Amino acid sequence: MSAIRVEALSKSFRVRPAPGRGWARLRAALRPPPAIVVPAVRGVSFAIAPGERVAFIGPNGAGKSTTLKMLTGILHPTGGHAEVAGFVPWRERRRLAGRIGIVFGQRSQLWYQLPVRASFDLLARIYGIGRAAYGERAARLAAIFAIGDLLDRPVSALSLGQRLRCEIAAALLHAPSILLLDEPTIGLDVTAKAALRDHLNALSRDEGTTVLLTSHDTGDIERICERVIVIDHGSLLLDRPLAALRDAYLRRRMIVLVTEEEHAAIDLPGVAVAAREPHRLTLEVDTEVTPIERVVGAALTRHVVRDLVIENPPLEEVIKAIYRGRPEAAAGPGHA
Amino acid sequence: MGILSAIHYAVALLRMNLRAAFARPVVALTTAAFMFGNNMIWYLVWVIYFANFSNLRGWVGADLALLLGIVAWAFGLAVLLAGGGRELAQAVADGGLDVHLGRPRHPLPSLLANRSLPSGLGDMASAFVFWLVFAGRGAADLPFLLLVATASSVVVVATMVATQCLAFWLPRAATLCEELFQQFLMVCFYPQHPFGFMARLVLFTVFPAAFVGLLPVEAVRDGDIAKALAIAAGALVYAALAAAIFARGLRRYASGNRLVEWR
Amino acid sequence: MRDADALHAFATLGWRNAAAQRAAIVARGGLYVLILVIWWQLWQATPLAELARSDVTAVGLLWYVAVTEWIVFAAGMPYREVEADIRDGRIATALTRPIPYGAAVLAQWAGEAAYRLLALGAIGFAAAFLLTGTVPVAMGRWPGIALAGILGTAALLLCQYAVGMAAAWSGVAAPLYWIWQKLLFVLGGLLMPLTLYPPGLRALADLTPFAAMLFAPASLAFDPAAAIAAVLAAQIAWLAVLAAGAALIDRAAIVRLLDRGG
Repeated sequence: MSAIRVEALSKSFRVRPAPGRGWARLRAALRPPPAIVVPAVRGVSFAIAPGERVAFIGPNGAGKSTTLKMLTGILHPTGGHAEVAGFVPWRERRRLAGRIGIVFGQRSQLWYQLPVRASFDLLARIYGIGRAAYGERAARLAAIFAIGDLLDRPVSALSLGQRLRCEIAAALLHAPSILLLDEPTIGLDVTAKAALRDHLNALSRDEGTTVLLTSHDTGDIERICERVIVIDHGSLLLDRPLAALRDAYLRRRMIVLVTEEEHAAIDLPGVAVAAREPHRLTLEVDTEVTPIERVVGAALTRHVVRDLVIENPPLEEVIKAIYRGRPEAAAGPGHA
Repeated sequence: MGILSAIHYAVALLRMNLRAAFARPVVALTTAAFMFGNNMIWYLVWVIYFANFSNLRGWVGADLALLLGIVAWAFGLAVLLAGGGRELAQAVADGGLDVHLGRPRHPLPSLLANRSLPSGLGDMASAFVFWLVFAGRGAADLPFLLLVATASSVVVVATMVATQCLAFWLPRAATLCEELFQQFLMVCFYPQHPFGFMARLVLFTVFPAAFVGLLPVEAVRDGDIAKALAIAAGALVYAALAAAIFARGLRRYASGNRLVEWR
Repeated sequence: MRDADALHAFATLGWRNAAAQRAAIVARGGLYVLILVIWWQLWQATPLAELARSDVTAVGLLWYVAVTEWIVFAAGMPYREVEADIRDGRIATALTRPIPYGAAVLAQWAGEAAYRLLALGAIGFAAAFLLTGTVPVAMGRWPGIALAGILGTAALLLCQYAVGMAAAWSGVAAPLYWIWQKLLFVLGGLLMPLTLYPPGLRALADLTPFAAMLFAPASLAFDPAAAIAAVLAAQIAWLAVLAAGAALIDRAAIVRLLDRGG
């Protein structure tokens, strides 16, 4: 049985055109212009097995948050079917809520001025968790997410990464079998993201929790998930294991070198120059041909490197490449 | 989840709420003290009024003090325990509702209790001064007064929710919601008995300020149990109405259409 | 000359800013009208015959409140902007400009208040006329009343600037503002003319600038005998005092801010 099963799920919004100003606005209020139907999600289908960790990625406005909201029952679909933990979300929202944990990256459910533990206490009441079970559960989550010493600090005193770990632990207090994360990594630095990955890995190893997270950052995907669903303009574009996606679309990397020398050059197979400016060289590396370490090593021996940045191809490029069906183009220029 | 769990939940919400309000106790108590002083100075206006005039169509200074005490208690209690109601429109507009919807409870209580304004405590404290000092009531009157004023508080919260729910239908209406509520508050703070029939009709129906100002004062002054029961009934009806409006709004929210309208 | 040009630009910006916030004007206008409706009911229910003097009418009292509330609503609560500038450190940027911070802020507020005086003046006049069915003051007196209202608003803005600058010491200005505002309401005679006050309180009010801010302009609409020239002269004198006080506070606050590094 699937943890999440989605069949031909679609959602359209009815939008009215902006009414303009002054009299036009008044007229529009009295006799509204006909609404335009704008599809946000168009017939998306997928299934997620228990214990899987799946990234749901797409650019802003692709429909990922809309889909996630439908899976939690907050938004009702226009068509199609979905089952989450055996429930139809929009029919049984409150019963489903006891089986899933939700983290909205931009919305805290922790009380800002109070110690984290106070919010946990309240959530235990919200979900009707017994005293003993709650104590045990909180201790366990504190271990998994390494937040034991944060629990008695006010939320306002936590860093963003610490707070997110507490948010996720809070969403897991009632031991849901499915964890949904909406843009959890916005604003996190690299270290915090790495810590998050380790904690989520520990979670799925210890508890077999199904994880579905949305993101618009290709960097998140490889670090956290084992399977990727790409959505764009409301349609499912791609659904495959991370390894396959990595080989096909994420094998290219961009390296930006800032050098003491005005003109730098690296000659290695699979390395192309994407952009060249004085003291600044942007390379496009096919990591299948030449691993990234070798390129960096070569740069360090040949030039005095003042700065070095390695970047993933931006999501837009990956999506363009998927459309074109030409994986090689995945790391095209456009961000240097 | 049974009744016991619901009670546990309600108690936990209230405790949390008060803890948050007094997370910075000095700031909270200072704010409360200012609100207290604010109400006292406001009463000075009526002292001056009744220094000139013997009555305001039958009402004397003590009646005014009764009114101000009841309204202060009703509003103070409302913003202390259900201060989140003032941010409901904002939560609808920016999606803050989602957190509450993702829980296995009705979202309204946790939304209301999501914020607590410590100034409410100053309001509630001033109520006792209004009643016991300016209105010349005794401690024996307090239970009835508190009962009536607390029922009025329910009407205040219901009105707050109902006006804020406008945001479900009118995006970017946060200003309008707040304005409507301010107007409600202002009407409550003035004697309503001189108003004409039409105005009273409004105050007893769509803009239920009569249940916060007029009826409670008359109930207490005349010891009128029927009027007290009318307030209690009003509290129930308006609470149910507000919950119904909220539920309607939620349905619209779940359809997602309001999110993009009139962009 | 360049300064004047810059200040004019700030004032224009303020006017446009106020004009753009139509929802805010509607909200304020709504409250303004509502308060007039309430007081019209209350004054009509008041046994005015009990007063020793016979020239006090419900109509006059309503027009009195229409003028005082006009000034209060037009001024608004702009002190919050100064408070926020200090709290967020934005004032540091403003202090690096060649125009004095206070002059720029007051110029912008003047522009905003001018728009609101005009918009709310129209609303209030219409509402008071519709309620009472009459304009109790000779048309020739209205330019004087308008001028006194503008001067009263200017005095309110000067005070608010000083109140906002108090954030340089305590970090917050709101508590001070609430005290100031309540003093203004009571000693300025927001809801009742000072002539109805007990003698002691009246004497106290007359010693403060508050009476020149609200009571003085409104008395012109309430008391046909009130001399416009005398009111304007008193207002200008108080404005000079307030401006000097605000300038002192401004200088002290900026010294303190620069001392702390902004």
